[in-house]
Amino acid sequence: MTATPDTVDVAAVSAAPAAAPRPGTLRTRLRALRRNRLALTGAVIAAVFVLAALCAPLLTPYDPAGPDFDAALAPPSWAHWLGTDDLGRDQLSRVIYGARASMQVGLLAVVLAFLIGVPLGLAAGYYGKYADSAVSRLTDTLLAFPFLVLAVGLAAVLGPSLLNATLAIGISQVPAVIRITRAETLRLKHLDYVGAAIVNGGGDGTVLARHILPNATSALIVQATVGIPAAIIGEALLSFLGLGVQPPAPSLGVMLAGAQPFLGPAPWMAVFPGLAIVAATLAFNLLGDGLRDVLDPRGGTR
Amino acid sequence: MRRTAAVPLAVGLVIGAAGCGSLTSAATEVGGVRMTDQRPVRDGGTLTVALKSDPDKLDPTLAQTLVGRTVFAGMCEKLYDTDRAGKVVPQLAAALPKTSDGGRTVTVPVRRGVTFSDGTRLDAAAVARSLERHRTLPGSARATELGPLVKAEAAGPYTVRIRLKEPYVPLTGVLADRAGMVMSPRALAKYGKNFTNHPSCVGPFKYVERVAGDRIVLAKDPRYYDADKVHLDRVVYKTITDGSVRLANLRSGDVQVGDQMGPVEVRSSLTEPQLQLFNSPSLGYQGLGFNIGNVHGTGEKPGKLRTVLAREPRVRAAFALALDRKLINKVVFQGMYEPACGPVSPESAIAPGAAGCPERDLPRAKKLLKEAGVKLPVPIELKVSTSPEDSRLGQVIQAMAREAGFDVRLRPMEYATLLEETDAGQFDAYVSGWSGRLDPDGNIASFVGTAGAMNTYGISDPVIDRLIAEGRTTADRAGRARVYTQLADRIRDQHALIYLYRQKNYVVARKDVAGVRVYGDGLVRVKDAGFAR
Repeated sequence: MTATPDTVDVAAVSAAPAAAPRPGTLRTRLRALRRNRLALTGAVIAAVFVLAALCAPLLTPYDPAGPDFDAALAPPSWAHWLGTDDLGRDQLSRVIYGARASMQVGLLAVVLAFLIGVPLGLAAGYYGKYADSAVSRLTDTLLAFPFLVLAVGLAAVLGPSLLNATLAIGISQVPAVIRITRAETLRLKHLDYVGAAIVNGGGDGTVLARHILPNATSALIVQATVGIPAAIIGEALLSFLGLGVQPPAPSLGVMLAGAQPFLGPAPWMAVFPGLAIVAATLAFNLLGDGLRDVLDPRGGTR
Repeated sequence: MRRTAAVPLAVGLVIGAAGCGSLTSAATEVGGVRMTDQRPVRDGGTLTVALKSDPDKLDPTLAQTLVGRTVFAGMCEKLYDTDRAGKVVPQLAAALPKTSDGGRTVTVPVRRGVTFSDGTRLDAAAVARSLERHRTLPGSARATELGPLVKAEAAGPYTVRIRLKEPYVPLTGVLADRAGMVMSPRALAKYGKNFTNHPSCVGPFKYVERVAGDRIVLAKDPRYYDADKVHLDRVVYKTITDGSVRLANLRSGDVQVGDQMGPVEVRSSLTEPQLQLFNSPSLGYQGLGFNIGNVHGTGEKPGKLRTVLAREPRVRAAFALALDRKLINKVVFQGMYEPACGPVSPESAIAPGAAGCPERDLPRAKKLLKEAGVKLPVPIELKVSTSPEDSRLGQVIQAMAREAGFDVRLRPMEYATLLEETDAGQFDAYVSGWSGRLDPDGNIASFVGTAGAMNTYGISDPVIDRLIAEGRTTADRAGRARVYTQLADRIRDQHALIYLYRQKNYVVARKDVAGVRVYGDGLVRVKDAGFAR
């Protein structure tokens, strides 16, 4: 590093404009993402999960809820790639349908959190004063409850079902979304182009929708990729506790709960749904990490 | 963000490690019946017993659960007790009761020199007061089993006279359970209905504290008449609902005795050198019950329900025919229990003739549904407890019933809530069991007799009521056995309470614990227990 820093820098600077177009465009960002191997792996695995969830009925060899008592607790084989559970249900089919439930909750919960959180965050950040105080106190109140307590409490009050688990997880993610949107809005609203838009006679709606929200998207996308794995784990957790998906419908959490007594005699019952949860959350986390590196204006490209 | 990734990674590692552990396990068979071990024990120590569910009220008059009885076994002695052979022996009574007046008067001599845990002396008046409370307190769960009593009174300082409406043969057996528990009259006067929070009886251990949902602590009672033979300082009953967690706690040594262990856990425990297994055949039964008339609450006269299940016995019969008991035992319980079709265990004091166990018959089930003219699939909500075993049982029932044309939705709920809601009649069907009594009457009368104290199903049938009365008043054993065989058939034909299987009492303990006793009634008796020398 101490040897010839000058020549290296010169080469890099002179090569840069020729090789890469203007930094910050979509193409540069995608290219940067492609160069990040970990993020790419994450993206591929995440895509596999989304595809599996979409095409579950086409992919599964057996009815995920249909027991075959003669084949109970069969280890992995050609007939059952991931073995069967204590009631003789095909584990592969159940993992695929379980992943579907996970994806469903993961995406829907985040969408819900954004539908509630983004408008509130924008209002708080843009209007300040009373709007900000009201929204921020609401956020503080929600944040005072740990995620688990809030989600379990909501699921217990609403009653156990997949939809209610989604609602519970979505609501428990709202405060994070509000905070991030508010912070971004606060930062953006003092920038010159926003001022220019206001001077040009743009109404609040126009300014928020055309100038502030689009520029806050990178932070929000990163938040979404963090929210999805959190929601997947949340779903597995609520189902594990009996507050999410109800049997015989498969869910990764329900499968793990059912596998507990069989850890010794039939470890495959716990290992595969466990691996699926690990893979899904890891994939979205890696993707999120990569996206943050690429989208964060302060970090630049690595 | 990085922390969220670490959590699933850790989960994965743990699961992987657990998976590898199983490679070393070998299949070992459960031996024959083993109720206790006689190794000498040293004095002192705290024994922690893990219970399957949180006991309900610690008031012998109001209590309903098996786990509650296990706690009572440590702190509330009864007039009579059952021994390992299933025979009734005196405990707080000095001898077996004497009947006179054609069976209408029963005299019980009371043991002398006995003190309650609060220092009050035990005498005939105290016994009579407890019996009267069991009989008359509103909401008493003992009301049915003490139904034939007219009055209990002190005929002398240590003689209790019980007057009956009619001869009542099962009385001795009834007094060998909670109805025979004697509560301190001073505690009753002071606390009344709040006795449950300050229980005081005669027992090797006395009540110290209770943390609801977590633990009940008892300490050795120096006033106990047989205190020299009690070795432990303290007994802690801890609630751990999940069987695999009970087993994990046994492995780690955090608890020393695990109550009501399930077949899967028993199988894994066999491979552990530091654990030992006790087992005895159960006097009870397990099955499922339908609500056919519980409108006003359990113990009240049944009313009319508009559900298909209540209106149509054929639908209930079809449901029963859709179930395969052998397969349930094999799949859910690893074949370690016994299929059952009637209320009375073969281990009972009076075993009835072999009840015909109906085989699974899908075509007939479908035919019955067709004849009943109901819209298929018939929706049923089945309430189960949150235990993994109940969940598996529920799912197997769900799958079997679906083939006949039922759409069973499972509703897992915490056990105490389940009891509350089923008592109030808020259910279609629920998984329902009974730990069992020595006398067949104790497995039948409260459950299927009209307005019986535990007749959550709303069953009301004059023939059943007549047979129950006949069983209670028939003195000769062969005659009683015939009555109970008829009763079992009649109950089966109501299709309101479907008997499915009979458990075995499996209790796992650490090897260093000796003297724990596990009899057919399923209780864990800790009086003589201690840590091996």
